[in-house]
Parts: sequence; structure tokens; C-alpha cells
Amino acid sequence: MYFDIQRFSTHDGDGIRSILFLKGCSLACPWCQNPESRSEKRSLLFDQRLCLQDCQACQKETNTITRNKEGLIVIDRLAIDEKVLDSLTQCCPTQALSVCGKETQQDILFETLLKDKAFYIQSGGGVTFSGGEPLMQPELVENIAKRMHQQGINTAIETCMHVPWKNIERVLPYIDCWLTDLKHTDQQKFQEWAKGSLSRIQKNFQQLALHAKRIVIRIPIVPGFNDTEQELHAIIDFAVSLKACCELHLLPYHTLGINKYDLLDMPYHCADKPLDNPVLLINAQEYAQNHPQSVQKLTVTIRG
Amino acid sequence: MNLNYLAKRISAHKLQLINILTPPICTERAQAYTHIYQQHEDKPVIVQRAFALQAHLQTRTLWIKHDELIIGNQASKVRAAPIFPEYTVRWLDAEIDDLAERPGAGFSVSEEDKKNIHQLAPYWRGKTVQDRCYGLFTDEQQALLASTIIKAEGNMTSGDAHLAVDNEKILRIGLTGLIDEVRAHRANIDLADYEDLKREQFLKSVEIVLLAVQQHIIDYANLADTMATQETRPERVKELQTMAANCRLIAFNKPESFWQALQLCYFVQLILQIESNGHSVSFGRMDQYLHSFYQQDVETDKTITRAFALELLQSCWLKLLEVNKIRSGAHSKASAGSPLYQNVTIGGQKLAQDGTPCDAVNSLSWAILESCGQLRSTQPNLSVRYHEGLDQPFLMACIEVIKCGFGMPAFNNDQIVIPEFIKLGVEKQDAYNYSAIGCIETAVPGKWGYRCTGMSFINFARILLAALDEGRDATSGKVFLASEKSLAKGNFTDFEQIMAAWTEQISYFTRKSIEIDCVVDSVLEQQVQDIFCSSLVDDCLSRGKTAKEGGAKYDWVSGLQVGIANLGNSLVAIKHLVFDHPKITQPELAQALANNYATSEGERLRQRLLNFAPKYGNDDDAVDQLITIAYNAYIDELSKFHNTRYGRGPIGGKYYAGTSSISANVPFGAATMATPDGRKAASPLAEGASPASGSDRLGPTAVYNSVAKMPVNKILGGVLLNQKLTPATIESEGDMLKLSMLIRTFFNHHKGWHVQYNIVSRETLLAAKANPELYRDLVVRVAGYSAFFTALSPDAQDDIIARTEHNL
Repeated sequence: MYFDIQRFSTHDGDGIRSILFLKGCSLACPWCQNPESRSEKRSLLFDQRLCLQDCQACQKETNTITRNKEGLIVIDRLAIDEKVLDSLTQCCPTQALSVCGKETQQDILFETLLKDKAFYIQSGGGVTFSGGEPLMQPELVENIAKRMHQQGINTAIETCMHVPWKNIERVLPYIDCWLTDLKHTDQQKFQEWAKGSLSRIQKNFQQLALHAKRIVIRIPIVPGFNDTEQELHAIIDFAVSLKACCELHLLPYHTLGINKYDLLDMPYHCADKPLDNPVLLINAQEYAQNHPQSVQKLTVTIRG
Repeated sequence: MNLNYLAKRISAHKLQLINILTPPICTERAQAYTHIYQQHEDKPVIVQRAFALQAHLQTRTLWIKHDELIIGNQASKVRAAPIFPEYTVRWLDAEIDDLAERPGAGFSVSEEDKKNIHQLAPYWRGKTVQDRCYGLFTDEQQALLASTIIKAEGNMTSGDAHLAVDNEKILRIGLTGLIDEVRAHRANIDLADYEDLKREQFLKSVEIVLLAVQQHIIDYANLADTMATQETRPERVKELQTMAANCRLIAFNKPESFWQALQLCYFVQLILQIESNGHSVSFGRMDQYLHSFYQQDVETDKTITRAFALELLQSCWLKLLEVNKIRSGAHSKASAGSPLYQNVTIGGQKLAQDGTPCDAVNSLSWAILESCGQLRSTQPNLSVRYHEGLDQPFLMACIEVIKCGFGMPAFNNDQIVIPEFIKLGVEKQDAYNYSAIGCIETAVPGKWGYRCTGMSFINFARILLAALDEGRDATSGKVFLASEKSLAKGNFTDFEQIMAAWTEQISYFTRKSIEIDCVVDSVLEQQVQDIFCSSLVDDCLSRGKTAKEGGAKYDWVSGLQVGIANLGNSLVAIKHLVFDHPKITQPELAQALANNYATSEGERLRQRLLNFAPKYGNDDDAVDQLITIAYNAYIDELSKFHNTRYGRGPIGGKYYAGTSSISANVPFGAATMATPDGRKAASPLAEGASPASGSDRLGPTAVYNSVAKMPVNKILGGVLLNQKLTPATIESEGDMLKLSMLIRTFFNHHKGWHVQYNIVSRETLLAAKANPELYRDLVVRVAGYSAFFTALSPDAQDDIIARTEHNL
């Protein structure tokens, strides 16, 4: 299942790219700015601002959606099942109520991603798989990446690496650039915040470093989670120890997706302001660039 | 390049000009022309006009101000708009007393101006181009014009222009050389021959005018000399003396220095715009024909510095900004911001000795680009000819200038224009020498007749509405061509019948637009010959004909079609939601359109049309192909017609399509009822070949893919694409590189015709609308041209704010 194709993306990999966003993630990072991507099933988003006041379209389809005394839409989310989602897909005229997530038809996805081929070729760009965690659907990634390679098109993947090694192994030959997240080096803190196993990620990193054509390590810098010099140094030390990685992106926490939590009726637990600590970023950049253990000088970019 | 520098005198001059909010008008030309026409009523009109121009040049007020380095003034006061009574006095007489009040296009008119206008207007009534056009129009044509579905007001209230003359030639042979050529032709005239008698009137007129131009340049020399004697600053004294000496030379001989050459080109540009009030008078490929002068003075002999050469150019650009034009209230809405569209084209290819094409970018291309980037004005309208071999550093420099946010340069694509011109019958060396004219349209400088675009405007959206309702125009309720079916009666049996109704209506309106052009062209030909202009267009002198009589070597014209995206989006919405996946019935749609989607049911239906039907600009074949089919109905019909010069000399003599709708999408939208694409009545139509505002949601690559599916090779009047980018998106070098790749792909792979960028954030535009006094210098791309944002009317401002902003 996927939920979006973003064309003309210029900040996730080389050149002009299209990003395929796949649904479902094995982590639950509270700073995630794509919360609609977490569930591997379809999600229902509701934007009050677009709702037409005297419209009954959705209520005619299902009794899980009602209007309260103030006339505002109330969704009984627990009662929403696949059948209800089907009936709501092309229902709301303004798309205030929208169903996020589409079943993948590989051929159609492939054709759509191919539409900007001329731009990829001219700019050295290509297709990037993202999510969610794209490697929860390795068969799909393998199929499309392989066909992109047959077309001479570059491929990249954004992954949190929190997947079984076999999923990574499967797509390895068809991915040119790995944009891999490294969020922390403390097992327990990682478990508390992201609800996942750090050792699994670290083992995958060590394996990947032996095989991947190009690895870019991306460090999201999140207030309260890893925004101290000490924690960042530890993360950078690990990145440097991989040897195969010579590019690092420092991604300061932002809040551009906060609104989506509202649309999903999900609580938001992370900071409500973007990270504002340029000194920390610059120091971390310097630390990484001049790391004594690095085999070759790291390229360190702030904001990727 | 240093784009953040501006010489003191230049920035002071610019500041003066942009703070003139309601410029004056000037009646000197009108008075001189009235007087001379009256005096010479026995003469052929062309000779009357020669004497009128001569007398006006002799008597008008001359001035040199602002420490300028290029001299010549169009009117008695700075930025004053001259009056051209022979084209029209109708609106002038009616609107003159309230001109200051016009939103976005006000003029301040003194009591004396009003008196003068009211005094001379009676002489012209019944004699002007506009009046004579109405004398020729059939009742049906008049009704069509009154409905504004077809609009030709600009064409019958001003000269044609929309061309570049042969600056290269005047630089090569000088004014005396040109006069010698005229005299040589006159020597062969046989006055016993009827055709020769006519030719003689033309050639005689040319000689009168050219001699008057020479004297006029001498008058400027005298003025500069006089001013030098009164000037106290030694530097300025020297400049005035040099300009005087320059004028004395170029009044007769070919120029010898860059300064002289530029000054001569400006005089030509100026007098073209005193002879006629036609706009889009363009310089052609200035970086090519002035390069040898620039190279000699700046690089070889080092007689002037590069910085001074830039000042000369900028002084010339500011003189272009001083040229002004007054339009009727109605017409000024279609030309928001009083634009003159004086285009300068740089870059592109040239042919080497052995005939192989090579990159034509030279040191002057760079200097012109930099001078415009520093000045950030609306004039000239700067175009860059793109081709695959265009120097990448030069392309990056163009993007750096685009980044300054004043909408320039725009790009035209050699890779579509040149081969298509050659297919039409343009000779290879001429095709390689094409330039942009006005906005985005293209022609061969000095060899092409008028209006490679700029003939009648047609409102596609209104014609579609008529096709959906038995031929009834939704705005006026009038039926021009009755047809059988209507949505209201629900008697379209399938979508094919909708397309058939469209084809029937558009064919009718196309024919009518050509009929109207035919009337206007014939009146312009007989009443307002451009003498000076024709003397600089091949082969007018050897044929002894004005350009309008068929003197030009090439002559293709194009009208303007407005609302293309609305047409396609409307058709596909009907196809999808009424026929293929019926969710809306024909009468429901008819009712909603009639009510302007006013009821809550109507609003829900509108939202369905907006959200559940494909939209042009998103690379969706369902709508992109439908646009092509619908547009081809127009193009096929158009190909059946000729212009008035067909068979009278020029190669061509035909029409092609063109989409540079200038800002007409706003007033045309204001006169268009609700459309089936979900657009409400009176809101703007889509502009040029760009997607409808806010409907392109997949970013620029999808837009390019959609635009490229249009029959671009048949729309040689230009395929206009405006894109708005946020400033943040081209901040870094890497971002700029990606934009350059985007442009290259669009042109190399998609064979796009044109693209231009607005790089001003929405916040800035909103702030400028709220506090105009802080943003007088904010220049934005309107359509194929840029305008000062605060000089636009509020609805044109809103239209620009609404255009989709892409984040790279």
C-alpha cells in the first residue's frame, strides 16, 4: 500500500526525483511528520476547515460519522472498518474527509514514476522510496527498483533500517543510494521514544556497510531526545565507525506535519516548536568533518 | 556578475520614474497631427502622415533630464502619454475627464489638456481608424464585438507594431545610406504607371520622414550643446558635449562607437513609437548587432569601461520605461500595468561561416543580462533564446537574475521555433536570426510584418458555454449561431455530441474573428501607414509598399485565445461526471451553472467538479488530450484563412494560433459566467497556456508534461507558461542547478516553447497589496511581460497572488 507520489522532489537524493511514499512503519517515533504513514492500512483524515456545513454526504454513507450539536463532524474511529473506508473514498465533495492509502498496482506505479524520466536523466535524478518504512514492502521495492534500473534510472531509499536483514538484502542490488536514519546509540532511550530495537538497526547498518553502493546517514535532531552534544557525538562516532559512509545529513526537528495529527485525531507528544539551536548543529558538523577516526573526510550537510 | 549594484545616476533616475503614479498626458502630437492633416487634406493620407510626423518632430518639446546618457523623449513631460487622435478619439472624448480615477491605469490630465482634446476631437470623429472600422463592420460583427466574446479594441485604437525593425541595417549604412537607397528607388519610378504612382507616394513619404528624423537628431545635438554651456559640473559638461557630437555623427553616418550605436537604436525605437502608438516594438537580437561596437570600445580599444557600458545600457532601459501609452478603460484591463513590451532578445544560436549553428552568447549578452538584473525594471522585456548548446554558466547567470524576482529573463526555445519556421518557408539564415517580439511571440527582425501575435482575442470559455446551451451566450443571452442541444434540456446523447457542438461554435467564432481582423487590417492599411517603420522592414523599399500593403518578406499573424485550461477542464469534467461515471445530470449541471453554484447543493456539485475530475497541468492524459482535440478544432479552422497581405508579396500571409493572453484573462473572466470546471462567474480565466490558478498540484514537472502535450508546433504565436516559485526554493547553488536542469529538460526533451518564472513569495505580494507605498519597485511577471505590482488593478493583483506556487 502507498499513500503518495511526490514529483519534483529535490531534497531527497541527487537531481530531480519522484518519491514513492509507502504505508506502514515498524517504529513509532513521536516526532514523525508523516503520521498518516504509520499504519499499514488505510487511514481516514478529516479537515474541519474544508467541511461544508449543510452537507450530509458522509453521513449518508455511514453511521460511524455524525454531526454534534454544534454541527461539527464526529468520527467514531474505532468503528471505521475497511468497508466504511471503501464507501468514503470518493464521497466527500471537498475532500475534507479523505481516505489515505491506495492498494498498489505495480504496473501503474511504475508507469507513473516513469513519467518524469526525462527530468531524471537530464539531472542525474531518479526515484526514491520512502514511507512509512518502505522495506516493510520489499517485494514492491524490489520490483520497481529493478525495473527502474532497466530504464537506466537511479534509485534511492529512505529507511529507518528497523526491518529484518532479508528485506534489505532483497533490494540491495537495485538501490543506488541508501538514505538511512540513525537516531540514537542508547538502546533504552531509543526503545522508550521510538518503540523499536536499536541493536537490530545497528546490526543491519554493519551488514549494509559491506554491500551498499552509497550510504548517506541522516540524523534527525529532536529536542529532548538527542539534542545534546554528547548524544550527537556518540551517533556520529557510530556513523564514522561504519567506514563505508562518507556523507552525513543533520536534520533539525521541524513541525511542518503537526497539523496532520489533528486530521487523524492523534495526540502529538513532541515539541511544538522546531529545533532552534544553530550552534549545536554547527558544532556537530565540525565534529563530524574533523573526526579523527574517519578514513576519508565526511561530507556533512545541515538539512540534507 | 554583481547584481546588487546600481550606479547613482541610474538609481536616481529609476526612483524618479517609478514614483510617477498618475503620469501626465501630452497633446503636442495630437495638435500637430490635427493641424497638418487639416492643412494637407488634398494629399494622399500617407503624404499627410509624412508631413504630420515631420511637423511634429520639428515643433515638439525636447528635453534632456536625469543626467541621462541616452537621450530622446517621447512626450513633452516625463512619462507623459502622447495622444494619437487618428486611431481613436471615441473613448478619449468620453473618458478624458475621469482619467485620474482609473484603478491601476490612471493618468493626470490638466484642464488645458482636456480643453485641447475636446477641441480637436470633433475634426477626427468619423475619420479615425476605429470609426471607419465601425463604418465597415456588419451588424453581426458589431454585435459580436459588443458581446466581447471577440475583442479587437486594441487593434482598432492603435497601430500594429509587434515587430522588430532592421537595426542591423541602420547601424551598417546610417540614415544617409538609407536615404540614398530610397532615392535610388525613386529614380526608377515611372509616373506613367499606376502602381508606380502609388509607390512614389510611399517613397516620397519615406524620404520626407527620414530627412525629418535627421534634423530631429541634430536638434538634440543643439540642445545638448546648449545645456553643456549652462552646466557647472565638468564631468556632465563632457558627457553633454560627447552626446552632442554623437548626435551630429549618427544623424547622417553610421555609428562608430558603442555609445553612438546604442543612441541610434534608441532614436529608431523612439520615433517608431512617435509615428504610431502600436506597442511591442522590439529591439531584436541586440547582443548580436551591437557586439562589434561593444567589443571594440570595451575590450579592444578600452575607450570605455565595462561599468560605463552597463550604465549606457541602463540609461537606455530607463528611456524605454519613459515611453508611455494610454489605453481606454476597458482595454487597459487587458494590458495591466501599462506595458509597452519592448523586447530585447539575447543568446540563442548563430550560423558560422560554413552554415553550422553555434552558441551566440557573447560578452554583450552577459552585459545586457547583468544590466537588467541590476536595474530590475519592467523594460526592456528581456528574453533569452535557449538551445541545447547554451553555455551552462550563462544559463546559471540567467537563473541568478530570475532569482532577483522581477520575472526576467523569459526563455524561448530555438529547438522548436527554428525548425517550425523553416517548415513554414522561412529561409534558414533568417530562421536562425529570429527574436522574441513583445512578450513571447517570435519573428525575424526587420523582415516580418506586424503582429506575429496580437490580432483579435477570442474567449474560449464563453464559446464553450454557448455550445452547451443551444448557442446562447450565457453572459448576454444572445444567440449568434443557433444549435440544437443544451444541457438544460439534457438532450446531448453522448460526450461526442458535446465535442461536436464545441467544434461547430468555435468554427463560427473563428471565422468571425478573421472577418473582424480583415476589416481592421484594411482600415489600418488605408488610414495609418507607418512610414518610418516600413523603411526599416525588408522588402518594403524595393517593393515600394508599406508593411501593411504586403511589403514585408514574411507575414504570419496570430490572434490570442483566452481560457484554454478552462476549456479543457470543463470538457473533461463533463465527460467524467456527466457521461462516463454519471454522478451529475445534464440539467443539474446547467442549473448549477445558471445559479453560479450559489446554493449549498450547487457548492457541493462545484466541489465534485473541482475534486473528482482531472485538471490540466497534472500530466493526466484524460484532460491533456481533450484540450488538444478541442484546441485543434480551432487550429484546423484557422488554417483555412489568410490575412490581407496574402498573395501581395510576403511569404506566408496566413494565421497560426497563439496563447499569450497578456492580462486579458482577468477582464475576460469578469465577463464569463460560471464554467463546468468549477470556476465561478466573473473570476479570472486561466492565463496563456498555463494551468488554471491553483489546479496544478503535482509540481512543475507535471505541468511541463501537460503543456508539452499541446500541439505546440501549430501554436507558433507562442505557448505561454508562467510558473511561480517561492524564493526559498532557489536559495542555494544546488537548487539553482536543479532549476537549470528543469529548464533544459522542458526545452530539450519536451520541446517546450517558452517559460518564465515569478519568484516572489505570497507574503510579499500580500504585503505589497496592503502597503503599496513600500513596494513601488516590486516587479512581477503578469503574462508574457512584467509590470510594477502596485500599478496593477486590485483584481489583476489577486490573480497573480492566486497562481499556484511551486516548492522545488
